[in-house]
Amino acid sequence: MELQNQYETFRQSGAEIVSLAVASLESVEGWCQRAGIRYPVLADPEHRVAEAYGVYNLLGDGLAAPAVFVVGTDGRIVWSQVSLDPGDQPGAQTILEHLPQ
Amino acid sequence: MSQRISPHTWVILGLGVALVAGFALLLAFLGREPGGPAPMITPALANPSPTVEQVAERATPTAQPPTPSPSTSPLSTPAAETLNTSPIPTPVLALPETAPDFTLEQTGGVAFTLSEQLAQGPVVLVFFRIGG
Repeated sequence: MELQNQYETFRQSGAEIVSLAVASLESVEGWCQRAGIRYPVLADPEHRVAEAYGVYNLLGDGLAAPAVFVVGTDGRIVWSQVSLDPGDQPGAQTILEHLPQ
Repeated sequence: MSQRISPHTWVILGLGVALVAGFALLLAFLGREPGGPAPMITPALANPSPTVEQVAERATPTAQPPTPSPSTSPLSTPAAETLNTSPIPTPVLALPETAPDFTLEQTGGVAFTLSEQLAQGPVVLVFFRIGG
């Protein structure tokens, strides 16, 4: 997976990349194993966080829409992208370009 | 007429007039007011822009900015909603400006708190789609 390949680049930039999924921790762990994801993935089974970020159920399927939020150390969201296409995850390069310097 | 107008110009002009007339019709249909003067199609063809502006002016007061919480105003006018609809149908996004803090369990069972991680540097949150 692309983000996994770029994970070290993210870490070198000083940023932590954290994934979230509206799913149980068990599902998330199983999925990470199958997909070879080794960076932190958070389980949001009650979709509280997805709702707080305004991305829950935008596609009407009880999941979060594919979305990325770059959060600066002051807590402000410096860049975000929300897609309404279920298969559309922004690329690692796009995210890297929007990291705060 | 001494000025030469190419057939091309006429085609573009014609298309433009047709577009404006169609738009005026749509606006007239959506923003109908009982008793108000019905916008006319013939003047629109002869002199399109003023008609569209008039119709748009009459339609403007009904067009409200989208409210952040749609549940509070379920009775907003259908006309306003239709006028606010962009050509690409997208749900209204209500994205936060500051990242809401949260604590969630992460793979491995450790708790993750956003504010604690932010103390060490920027954080990229990626919402994934895992079924089940």
